[in-house]
Amino acid sequence: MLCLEALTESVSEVGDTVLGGLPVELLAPIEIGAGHGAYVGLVAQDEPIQVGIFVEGNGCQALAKALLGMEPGDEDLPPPDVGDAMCEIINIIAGGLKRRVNDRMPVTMGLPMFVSGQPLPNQQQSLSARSVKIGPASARVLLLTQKSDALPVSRSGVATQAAEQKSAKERSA
Amino acid sequence: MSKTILVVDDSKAMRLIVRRTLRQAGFGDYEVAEAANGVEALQQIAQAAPALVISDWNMPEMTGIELLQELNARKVPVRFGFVTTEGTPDMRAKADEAGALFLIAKPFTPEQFESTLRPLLS
Repeated sequence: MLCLEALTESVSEVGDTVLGGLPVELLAPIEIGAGHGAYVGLVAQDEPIQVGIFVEGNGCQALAKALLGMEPGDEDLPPPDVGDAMCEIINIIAGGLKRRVNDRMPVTMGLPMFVSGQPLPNQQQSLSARSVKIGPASARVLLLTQKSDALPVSRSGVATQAAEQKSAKERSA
Repeated sequence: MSKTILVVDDSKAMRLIVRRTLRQAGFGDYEVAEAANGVEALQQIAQAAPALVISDWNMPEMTGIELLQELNARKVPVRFGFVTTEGTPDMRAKADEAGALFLIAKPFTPEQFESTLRPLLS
């Protein structure tokens, strides 16, 4: 919850600053069918976390134009430029999250990526999300974290062999 | 002093934003050159010594801190600072130790650019 609060604050800060003062408003939970998302992997206390923003429809185009100081009615940006801009937006959001939690939870950041759709958690992960409206764009900010009872993972995000062996022994006992 | 500022960032969008912020901060009379990573930046710095290098930290190929360390190893005298998403105290300390003149954390404002860069470029 701590991370989700900090993440939401960071989204508001990005709306106020690099997106040129776009208002950010919390929404009741919404389901978004089709859209695109930008994600960045973090490592916090040796646990991998994915931070993302999933935006419906043409919302990425609107956010990318806002980032670049363009008007909504300007000619649409080509897809690679939209992806680049969305990666920068999630990068700044994740940086804001890191700044907010760093004294309690040192965080290492990876490089962002832009994809179609949103991540689905596996059995060892849990997904928490908050629905927001950023200017004209409906979006969900997402946190994909390891469950507390998940197998320990190495810095690379791979479950350690020792932990797997221990778990197998426990299962067979 | 050269009238070129080199902006190093793997994001085209961020290079554009830094360029715009420089203009808004009153540095519109400087020519702005761009590089997408540390390797490209090394080549450009060797060809035309810029007045200032403004670099991102996290980049593929060669990170910003690796670029600064390489410039130090080659004894290239250039004013160098970071504009990055990560402005934690340990990263600031690492940047200081390597000789960076500033670290501006994103999101930033033209006023921050003006107050940080003006003393270095006057």
